Amino acid sequence: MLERKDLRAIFEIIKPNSKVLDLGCGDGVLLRELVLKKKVNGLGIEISIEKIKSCLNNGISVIQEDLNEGLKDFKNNTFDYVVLSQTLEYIAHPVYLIQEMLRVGKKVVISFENLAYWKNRITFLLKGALKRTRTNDHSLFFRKKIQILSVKKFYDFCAFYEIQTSLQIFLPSKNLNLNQTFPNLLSKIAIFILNGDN
Amino acid sequence: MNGFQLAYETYGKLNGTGSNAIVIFHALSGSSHVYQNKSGIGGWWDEMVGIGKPFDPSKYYIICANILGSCYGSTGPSSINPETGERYGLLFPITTVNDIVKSIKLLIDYLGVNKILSVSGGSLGGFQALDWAVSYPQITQSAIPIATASYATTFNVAFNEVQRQAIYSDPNWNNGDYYKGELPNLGLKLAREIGHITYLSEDSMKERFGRVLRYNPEYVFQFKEEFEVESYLQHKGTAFTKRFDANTYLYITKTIDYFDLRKEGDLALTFYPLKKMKFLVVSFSSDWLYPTSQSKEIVYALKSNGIESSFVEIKTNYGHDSFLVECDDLRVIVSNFLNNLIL
Repeated sequence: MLERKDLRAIFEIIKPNSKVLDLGCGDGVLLRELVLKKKVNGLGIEISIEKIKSCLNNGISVIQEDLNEGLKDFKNNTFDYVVLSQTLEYIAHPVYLIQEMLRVGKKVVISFENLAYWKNRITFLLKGALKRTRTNDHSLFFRKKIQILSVKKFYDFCAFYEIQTSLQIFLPSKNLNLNQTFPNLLSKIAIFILNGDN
Repeated sequence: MNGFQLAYETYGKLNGTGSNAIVIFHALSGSSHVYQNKSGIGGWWDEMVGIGKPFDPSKYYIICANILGSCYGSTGPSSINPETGERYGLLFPITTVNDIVKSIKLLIDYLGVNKILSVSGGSLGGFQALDWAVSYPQITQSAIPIATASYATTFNVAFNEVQRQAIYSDPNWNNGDYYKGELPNLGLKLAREIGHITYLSEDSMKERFGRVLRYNPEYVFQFKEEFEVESYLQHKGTAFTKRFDANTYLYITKTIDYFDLRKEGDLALTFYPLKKMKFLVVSFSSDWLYPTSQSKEIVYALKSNGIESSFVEIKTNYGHDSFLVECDDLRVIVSNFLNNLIL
């Protein structure tokens, strides 16, 4: 059972027997679930050697790479899904990486913490700073967020680069309708599915 | 050749289903003695082989053979040619990595092993692990090539060539016919000193020797051994001549030079039949002889065939020799990989 809600939602999205590349895969829990329950062909990319050890312990194939260098060694259209879960915040050149993901994947799945979430707004208003809300510290390398992401910003990005988004999921999904109507205000975590170049 | 001899050692027991055999391949100057075991004599990979270590003889049946062309018990240029009663010398045929791998397959068959759980080795041992995987994918579940490459680079050949030149230039070498007289130890010593530099890294040498003077507190301005690093290399070179044969050095460096697994220049084509295997490729950040880029070439050629493969670059200071040095990261990584294979 996956602890993180966004990973559970991503798990649901991915179709059985597909090829999945998980960027910044951490200890490989998402891929392990996908391999065990959906028989996917999974590969992780991770920079931290400690996380790589965990991946291998989980029986997950993993390649050590720095995502800031892109995915240059992968050919176009190699994977059914390229996943980037709560990692975009830590990438130095996010536009370049997303373009690379769209190149190698048929579908791109990106989840991130929405800093425009109303609770974050209140925290900022009251304290003048945002506290870390991320539950699962996923990389030892990037302790500080270097990208401020919000649902609105991501929509603007997709529009600017003419990237099609085929599905968006906003968590928490308790007040689903309301949440979908005002996602920038009401969602804590957003998941976007983008259609690849090919 | 009319038959040949292979020296080998095994540790542990083959299990009932015959599924726990692991073959370990040695590098240029190694032997079949990969593990100390009860011999009291240190094995060349005691860091990785042993109870509680990744290659654990209480779990696995571990096989290591001295390579064909070497001088530690297997037939090589320093062995007696049964047809002439003399040492082979340069009459010994030059062997390729594939010849070596095929000879070890004969040993595996002789031992009654029909399935291989994993093959592993560093450097030239990694060449063999890769060549084995390409040659026998049907019976081999996985491979762990370490600090290695899918072909010898121009740079590798260049370094091997100067090392061979060092041996050729020793008058005692006498075109390989020296076994009855003085040995070409000066040439072999120089070759090893050059080779040894390529196994280290700039940082590790700086850390270990710096510019420290060995004998005098100040420079003597003479052509004498002065710096620590000079006496270290001299010592390493001399020690090597006591345990290795010059012709063997020539032969094995040639074996390295001829290695190129790429089919029509394309490694992905080579790996195409390996679909069902699993790979763990490991490189070391300070290795400039078989750098990380070489390992990555292997990984991406595997990946382009959809072959399950993992890759890690371990941060170390010890250069190419890192795979022989105590390394906790390497142990954990290899153990975790082996634990997920199907016994």
